[in-house]
Amino acid sequence: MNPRRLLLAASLLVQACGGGEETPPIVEPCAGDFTYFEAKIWQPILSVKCVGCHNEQGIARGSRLVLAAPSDPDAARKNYPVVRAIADTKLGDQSVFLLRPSMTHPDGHPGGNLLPVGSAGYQALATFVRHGEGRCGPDVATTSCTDTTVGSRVLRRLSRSEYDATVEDLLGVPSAYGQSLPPDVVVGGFDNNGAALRVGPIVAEKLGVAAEALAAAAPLAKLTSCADDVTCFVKAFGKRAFRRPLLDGEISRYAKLGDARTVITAMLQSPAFLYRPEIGKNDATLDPWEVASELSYLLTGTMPDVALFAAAESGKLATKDEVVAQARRLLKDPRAARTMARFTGQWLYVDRLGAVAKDPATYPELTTDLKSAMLSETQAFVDRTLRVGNGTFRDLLLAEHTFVSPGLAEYYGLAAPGDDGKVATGPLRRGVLGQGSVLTVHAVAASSSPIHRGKLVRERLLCQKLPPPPPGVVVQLPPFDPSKSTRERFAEHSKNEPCRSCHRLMDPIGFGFEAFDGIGRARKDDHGHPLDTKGEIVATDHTDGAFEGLDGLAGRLADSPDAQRCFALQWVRFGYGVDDEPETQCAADRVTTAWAKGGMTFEALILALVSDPTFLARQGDLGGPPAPDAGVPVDDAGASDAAVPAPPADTLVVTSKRDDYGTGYCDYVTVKNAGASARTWSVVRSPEGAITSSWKSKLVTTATAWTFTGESYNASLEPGGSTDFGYCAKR
Amino acid sequence: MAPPLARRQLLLGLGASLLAAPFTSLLRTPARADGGKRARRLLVFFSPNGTVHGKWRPTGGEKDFAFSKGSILEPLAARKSDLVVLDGVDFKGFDNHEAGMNGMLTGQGTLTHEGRGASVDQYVASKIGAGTRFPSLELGVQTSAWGGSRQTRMCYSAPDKFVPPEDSPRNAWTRLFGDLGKKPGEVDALLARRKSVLDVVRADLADLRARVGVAEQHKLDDHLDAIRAVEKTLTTPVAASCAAPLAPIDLALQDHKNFPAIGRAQSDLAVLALACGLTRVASIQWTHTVSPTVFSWLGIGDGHHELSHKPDENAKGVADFVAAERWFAEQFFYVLDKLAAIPEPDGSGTLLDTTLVVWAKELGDGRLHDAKSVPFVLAGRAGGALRTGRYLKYAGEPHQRLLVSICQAMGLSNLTFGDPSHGAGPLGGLLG
Repeated sequence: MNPRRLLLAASLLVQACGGGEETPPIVEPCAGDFTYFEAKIWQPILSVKCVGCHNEQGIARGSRLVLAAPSDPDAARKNYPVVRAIADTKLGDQSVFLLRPSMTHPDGHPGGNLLPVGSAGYQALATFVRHGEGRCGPDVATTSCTDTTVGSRVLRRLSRSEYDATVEDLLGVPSAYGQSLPPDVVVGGFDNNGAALRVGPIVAEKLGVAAEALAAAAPLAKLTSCADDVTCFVKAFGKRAFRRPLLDGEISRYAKLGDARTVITAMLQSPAFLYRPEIGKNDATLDPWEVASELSYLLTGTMPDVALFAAAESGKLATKDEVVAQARRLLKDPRAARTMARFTGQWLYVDRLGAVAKDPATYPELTTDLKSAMLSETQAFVDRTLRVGNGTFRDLLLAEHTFVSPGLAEYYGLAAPGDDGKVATGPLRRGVLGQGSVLTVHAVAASSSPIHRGKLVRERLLCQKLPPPPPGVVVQLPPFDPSKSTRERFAEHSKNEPCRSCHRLMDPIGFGFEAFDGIGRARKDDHGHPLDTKGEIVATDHTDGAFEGLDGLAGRLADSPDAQRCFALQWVRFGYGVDDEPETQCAADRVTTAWAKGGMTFEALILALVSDPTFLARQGDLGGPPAPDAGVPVDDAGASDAAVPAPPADTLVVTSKRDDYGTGYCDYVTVKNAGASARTWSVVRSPEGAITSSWKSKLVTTATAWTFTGESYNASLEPGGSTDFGYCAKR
Repeated sequence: MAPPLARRQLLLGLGASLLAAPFTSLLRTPARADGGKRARRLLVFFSPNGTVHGKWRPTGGEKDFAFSKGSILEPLAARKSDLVVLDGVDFKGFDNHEAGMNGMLTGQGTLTHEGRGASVDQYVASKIGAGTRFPSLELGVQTSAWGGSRQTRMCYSAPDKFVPPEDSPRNAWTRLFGDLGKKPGEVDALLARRKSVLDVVRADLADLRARVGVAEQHKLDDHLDAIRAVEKTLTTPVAASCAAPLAPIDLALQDHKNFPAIGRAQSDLAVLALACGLTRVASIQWTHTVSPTVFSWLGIGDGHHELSHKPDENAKGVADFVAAERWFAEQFFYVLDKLAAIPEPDGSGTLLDTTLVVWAKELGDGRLHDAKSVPFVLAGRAGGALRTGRYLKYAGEPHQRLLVSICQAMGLSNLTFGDPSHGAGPLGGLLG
């Protein structure tokens, strides 16, 4: 125990209990720690964000943090020693009280990233933790990100839409071959994830078919001025196809193919065409050709144009100023509208509108044409508001106008739009969340759905993840009963504890959308019941509170730092093609800060993205000489284990995602070697329940520890290499 | 441009040499030399969101079972003697939508297990698919509106590596029959050109591989494997003797109204690809777990996933779900009927006699998200390996044993498949 802990005069506190059992005295590490706890930790954070799960009946009752309810007048005093002990518990040199709610604990946090590193709540926790170390001074900033925490070196395969756009620019012929590839793997909602996009047999086969057909259709005379000189063609066309000058070996290799069409066929299947390298040089900075592609694909979704190639050629793209200047130029390029449409479609899932399942008997009005009009509306609105108009996130949510076809205006009951499609919506249908595409996708087949709409806000606008429904619970609502309002039917969720712990995060937000039916029409009543659009947001950093209707919700989100940071994070995910690695969060913090400094305009956001260190530099190993077993899958590397020296402990980065079902959970764990030499790994977890299955690891269990080590094929990690494993347990 | 698409004799494959090969060599593959009985083909049929056991279970015993009136399997009654209905086969240690979809065919295998994390269809294809143009054929019906994920994919080549289905009948037709009409001389020249192109691609891959870190090297190794597979497809001499179908009409692939028509076209293509010897392993994946498909053609308004959660007290909801499930049973029946209509050239019966058909689901009771008694139905005599016309009730057998039985019915001898920790060996009493 810390010798500097003070005994606080307990008499006042004992009085609060009204006699009865003797209350133990409170032990404070710093004078005023309990007061600090009550005012800065318990009331604003724990009693709001945490106690919903962390209570004796809650979903997190099996954790160390079990809190007395706010309804207990003595709650702060009862909870103080519990929380003090957790704050004093360290994993390495960091308190678990900081690690858990910020999702930086190796075991993650089933409740999600409630207090991101650097947030105000996190700072308060950090101060409380420091008190336990005897550091009783005022708050200081705490962050685990540095200014140069950047993502990994990566090869990014062209997505389906990038493939088609690139081929069209490269050859001048239309292409739908990209769209005929199997749909890309979706990570975090986006289809351009650098790690997930790969070339498997089906893709390779289809790319081959496409390459032959495109080469046959290519207008050779327009591509180069090389006539029949194959070497000339290889150099000139190759520089555009590979988005960089060719190496000598490549020139001779391709020239041997003999004719231009065969060269095109091969180049369209080459990894130099299919992947955008963001690999860089030995010092980790990306080369100007890589940066040219980065800019081009981020902003226009296709290969660099003449001006970008020229900037790369001259070496100017190595500087931030030139990158910013090019980004400003490309933002005005009409092709950037395509990128905006892709972002919008995937961010809000409105690109699923074409496949949305609706009951034609309930909603005969929802024709294919109407769905197209709705999607066009949202794409035009976001593009014109943000990119063309250089608007802000507030504008996106609060605009009292939209851009629609005359038919859609009539459907909404709005006035006829002007020639540019612009029409006033008034506050009821304001902003992007009031548009038919969003309201139709986020509903069920025959009615509105507070769950789906609340989930949209929680996951896509606040960037908080939600677990799946627990097994063994009948999750269906009672059948539609015209005598009950939607809110009454959903009240079941708030009565039933396993449901309530998650549905309180969704349903009360979704109620705010109840003025709209399942296909985005405004309604005056809820099947004969008066509309009740009162809603509430809970369990956020800065966005909590009650609101009324879409108008109120949009207002709350528009000014919310949580929602603003989330929007920046979505652009980091989409723009960099990354999942939620720790580096992603660091980049999102920096981009959010730079965006705010730039006045929160959309241009400021894009310039923050391209000015971030991530855009010009990467970390991780380079290939060097090929390994002796190059080309052989790493399957039976058992023998190499012995050769791997014992590594320093801090080179292992362990991140974890948990699916929690209440009565059980599954952890999906990623282990990455961030050190400079190869190493083996092991991960130790505190037992929580009984393991029912584990995979991709060997497991040794004792009463106090579950120890996972790699299987023969994934025990050893190269520098920068990673593997994953997982397990499920019942509580 | 594709040539005119009249019905005509089909000459598939590349390389003039194959023209001399007997067209039906594959179809004449004899039974194993040791006299063992085995299936020549495997067809996996998937439909999502579990079942309602009370409306699914047959009545009666192993051989005198029946499908009660209005029950989910009743549409299969006319083919009862071709079926084995499996009750009491569980997924052990995992449940819920995503894990169910992921583990259904993989048995939750990892790289150290038999199958190395692949799904059973891909494993079987790797063992018996070498002689066919396509080691396996994956066809889908509206599987991909949500992109590729563990929810939308069931076939795996390795842990976390999807083998995606083709959702477009038109694309599938082009892939299967698109080389129709090329002259042998053209084919040889094309083949030589493809070979030299792929050699260049391989050299580029090696160059790039030397410049990147380990994670990206793995990505390029996968790419290289894919190139090898393509080359094999392009150079495997295959001949087949059957009538090429007309190209399927273009359908709006994501429109729910087209679900039946797309599924019918994919079923026809799968059966035809098997009949023509283009592949020995095929799958038809009807949508995906959590599927929101609205069965509007049956007058049902709710999405399939919503229907799958209707509790017993919601009689109308359960009735709608049963109607949707009966519709899937009719589609399964259609596939069986198609197979039964095609005679084996060697006189050994029909394709249904020599094929193993597996109707798989990813959950047990969809209402509970659990995976107890996952409603598997097997069909086809599997070349004599499967004793059909039975209703088998197990007491919670791990489904990995079913996967082993599937392998063994295909003539393989592995004793485990996927995660073996819940039990090894085949399901007792199923085969033989």
